[in-house]
Amino acid sequence: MQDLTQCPDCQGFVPAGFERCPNCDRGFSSGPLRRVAAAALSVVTGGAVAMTLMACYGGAPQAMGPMPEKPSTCREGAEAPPPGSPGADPNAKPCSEGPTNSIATGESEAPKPPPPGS
Amino acid sequence: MTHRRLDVVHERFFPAYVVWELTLACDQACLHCGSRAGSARANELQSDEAIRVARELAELGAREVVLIGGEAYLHPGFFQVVRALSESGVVTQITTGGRGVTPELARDLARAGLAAASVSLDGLEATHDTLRASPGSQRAALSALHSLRAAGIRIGANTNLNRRNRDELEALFELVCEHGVESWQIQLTAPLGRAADRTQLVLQPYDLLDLVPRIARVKERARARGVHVMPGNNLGYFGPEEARLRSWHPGGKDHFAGCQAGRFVLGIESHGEVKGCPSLQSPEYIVGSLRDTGLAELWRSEPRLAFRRDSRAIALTGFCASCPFGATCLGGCTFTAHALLGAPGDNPYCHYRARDFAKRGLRERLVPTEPARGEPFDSGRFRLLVEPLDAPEPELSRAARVQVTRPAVRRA
Repeated sequence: MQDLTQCPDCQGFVPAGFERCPNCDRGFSSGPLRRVAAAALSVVTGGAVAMTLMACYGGAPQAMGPMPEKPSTCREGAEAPPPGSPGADPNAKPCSEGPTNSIATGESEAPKPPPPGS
Repeated sequence: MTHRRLDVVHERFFPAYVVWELTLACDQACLHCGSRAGSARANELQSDEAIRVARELAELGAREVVLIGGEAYLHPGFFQVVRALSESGVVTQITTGGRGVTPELARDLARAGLAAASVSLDGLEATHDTLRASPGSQRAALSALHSLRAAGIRIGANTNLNRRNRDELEALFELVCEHGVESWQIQLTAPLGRAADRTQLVLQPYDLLDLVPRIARVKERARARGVHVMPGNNLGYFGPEEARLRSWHPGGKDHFAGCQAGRFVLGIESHGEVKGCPSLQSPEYIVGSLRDTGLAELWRSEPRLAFRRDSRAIALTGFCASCPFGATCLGGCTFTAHALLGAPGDNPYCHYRARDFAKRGLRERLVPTEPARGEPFDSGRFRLLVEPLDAPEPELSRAARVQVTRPAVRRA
């Protein structure tokens, strides 16, 4: 599994060691730009990758919290502003996924081990 | 979070997520059905056999089992299987067209322990009913959503996107919202089963240039309405929208991490045959029968089930061989790549790939060359044609115009 970073411009992933974003072609290769870019890039994988399993003949996973009491309305704009943006709750917890480096963040579920003998 | 969230790099593989075709009997005959469902197979697992399999799944640590068909509720042992799974602590779901889901059936399902249901919605009413080859089908599906929800079962929807319904994506999103759906899985119609007979229905690779960003925008809008939009495994990969598409929460950095068939995913066909993913082509990927061999033994020792456990086992070819994301993506969805070019490892249904061609003023076109045989989970063959990005849409080729529809083999 490759180490990937995320391009600060297009948000696409960038394999470690790449000097340009494969998606938007932003460069990370020289002088001050490289330092700024390196600071902006964060490693999002590193030996452990969490994934939400899907299969096309199954359905989407359901959240495991309590069932909503009434059907979703079609009201737009109910989403909380993203962290760090104006109006965001400074005490809001980070998203439970965050970086997919699940060991570093401890945010993904540990796999349920199969029973002995399996 | 969900039972589907796993660290997929570690090597303690187990069937965390299982899709089990309980019967091939179906009350609809969808034009794009990968399993060509309609009649039950002649030798489907009997109720007592199915209950034994349910116990084996629980013993192997399965977290979640999705019962599909055909229509799973047409199997005589359906409720017993739901009960056996749920009483073993396995999160049990169904995926259904919803035609036979009455309020009574929904209440019985809730009593049996069903946790959630995903109802297929393949477009607005006219499109849905056309694709499902069944007038009134969408009304039945929407009614099923309400019956299931009223019974206390969590409801989701799933949609196969293709050239017939792609323009309805945003309108379908409104419909999903209006009906209280909690989660919506969107995937591409792969030319598998009956969809392989209708090659004009399936998307061209360059269609992803428009479609993937639209899906990402819909996902963001959906969050505001409390709907989780998740892409199926054959939708991606590694364009700028990858993290937005695959992450459960805003700001998440999830990405596709390779096909999980036989690693954490398992598929079971209604006669007990096993493969690494329910959508894999049966002739090539069935590894054995649960009538002959226990599930634990198949899981541990059958190398053809474990073909994705070694990332080097499938050689990347074509564009994927030199793709910067190849070592992570591993060629995307196995069954989709196989359905297009006859083998995994080179997958034209890829957003990064389509964008890369587009940057060079080019696009790839799939040209059908060989029809499918007419069996469940089969596929034909295409060749790839590279042409200018702004080439006019050619008239449908003779091969594409011909509806190679063959009647499903009736064995029961």
